[in-house]
Amino acid sequence: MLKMLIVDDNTEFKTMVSCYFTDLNYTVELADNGREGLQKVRTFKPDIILLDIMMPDIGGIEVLRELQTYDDVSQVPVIVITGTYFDKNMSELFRQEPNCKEFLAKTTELSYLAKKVAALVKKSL
Amino acid sequence: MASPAVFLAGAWSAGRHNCIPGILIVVAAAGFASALAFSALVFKRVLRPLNDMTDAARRFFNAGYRLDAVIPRAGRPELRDLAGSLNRMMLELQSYRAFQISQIMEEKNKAQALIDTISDGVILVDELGGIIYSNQAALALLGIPRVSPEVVLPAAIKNEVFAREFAAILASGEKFLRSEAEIKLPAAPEDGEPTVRNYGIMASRFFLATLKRQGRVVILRDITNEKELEKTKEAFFHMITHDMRSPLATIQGYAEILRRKLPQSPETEKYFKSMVYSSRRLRGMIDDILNTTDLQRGVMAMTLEKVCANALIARVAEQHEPVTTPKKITVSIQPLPQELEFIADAALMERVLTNLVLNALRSTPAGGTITLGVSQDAENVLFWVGDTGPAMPDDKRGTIFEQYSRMEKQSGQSMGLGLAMCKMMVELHKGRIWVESEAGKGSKFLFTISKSLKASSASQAKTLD
Repeated sequence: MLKMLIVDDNTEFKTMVSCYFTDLNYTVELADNGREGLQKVRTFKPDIILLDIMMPDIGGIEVLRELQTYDDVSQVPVIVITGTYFDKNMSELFRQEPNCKEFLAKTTELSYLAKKVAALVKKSL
Repeated sequence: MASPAVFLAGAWSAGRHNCIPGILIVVAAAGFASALAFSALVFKRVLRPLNDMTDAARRFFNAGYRLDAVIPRAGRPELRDLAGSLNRMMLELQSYRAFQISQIMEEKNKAQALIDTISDGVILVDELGGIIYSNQAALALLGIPRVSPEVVLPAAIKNEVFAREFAAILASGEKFLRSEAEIKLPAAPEDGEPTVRNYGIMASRFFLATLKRQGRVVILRDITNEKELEKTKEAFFHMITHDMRSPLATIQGYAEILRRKLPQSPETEKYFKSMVYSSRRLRGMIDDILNTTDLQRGVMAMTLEKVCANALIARVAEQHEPVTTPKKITVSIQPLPQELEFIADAALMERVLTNLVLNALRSTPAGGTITLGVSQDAENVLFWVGDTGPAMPDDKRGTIFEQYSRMEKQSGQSMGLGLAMCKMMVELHKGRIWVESEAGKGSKFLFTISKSLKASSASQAKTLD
């Protein structure tokens, strides 16, 4: 079973995505903020991470950079998902990080997200 | 005059006939005297009164219709009457004129009070830039201390933005001009902060009849508050529209989850397809609004990447199945014989084509056909969406791409933002959009995309599929 970690403070979005991917036979783990995400990533060892940008404690970009320093997860693909306005300059900034493989808006259709996730997971296996 | 002749005749006959008795001399002298008396009488009773009248009339005109002294009633009764009538006439003229002047003065004062009271700057200039009239507000804005013949616009204007605007107004041949300018006003002595205000500038030409010259009325109106209000409203609208996306995404997401969870049947599949179709349409409308606002604010950023022309029209064509099937409308595509890749913002391209198809769906009756096609030449890729609906009236073809225009006949169905957005997006891709229409053949919307666009490097590198 493929493992997905969702790091996001927005419960509504997290729950929905979790339901969807659980149904697609993923094991989904949730983290409410950046700190929790960085903790869970070590024990859970996900195949893919969905990461929000705006979080109360550690922001998305810091989490992204911190992940690169962890030996075992530095290669895990991260999809950055933003709830704030889809700013193209912001997307360029995140795309500079090697582990950020995709930058999507939270309003992206789930089937499209699933396609992206499947492609990334397949690549990294 | 008879009397000198009589006198001469008398003298001549007296010289010729010395023998003529003295009685004749007496008669001649009497005749002469009576002639003299008669002429004196004529002078006193006729000529002098007439001269008096002429003089009085001249004095009256020279004094500016002011009657200083009445004409003495003298001479023959007829002339006395005439003098009386003249006096009466002059008096009436004098009072009439005084009344007229005071009325004109009153009108002038009223107009002046109005012009000076309004906060807008009002200024009248002649074609050479001289100031005919100006209220204090205008003088203060333009930084002109006092109106004098030496003051010539636009050279005398302190603020360079206003100076530029006035130069344009004076150089233009247009009857009405309207523009807006952002003006940095000098700091007020008490708070020391320079303020930026927005001014609406309206200029209209008029003809100065007495000078036989063109002049211009220029109104300077502070529209800062209107602008701010408009901006706030727009920001609010933008925010609300933006916030609509998140709940919509949740509905879309759970609809997709439900679709997978529920036992499938042809009915449930149809329902889900309609739900997905409608939520996609709503999402498209929201994106159109956000894109249009971004474009108007000048913050629109395109993600230019490779787009497959044939795949694009195929994708857009198949999306409308939930509407085309029940309406029995056929959607056909006319792809290129070989696949063509061009550089564009894929999401925006899809929005333009989708809007054109939605537009065609509205006007195509049941059983009709909608065709999506693509072709190319050396410089451009050409897309078109044709329908079999009623022909587009000639006069509408130019205006349908303007924001918030509507076709009256399609009562209440909005064509407002869709086509306007299409035009903006096409122009952003250095292309153009137009419509061809012929009675009995429906309408065909065509647009071009320039092949000269270059892919943005970052987005191209990280595109997955």
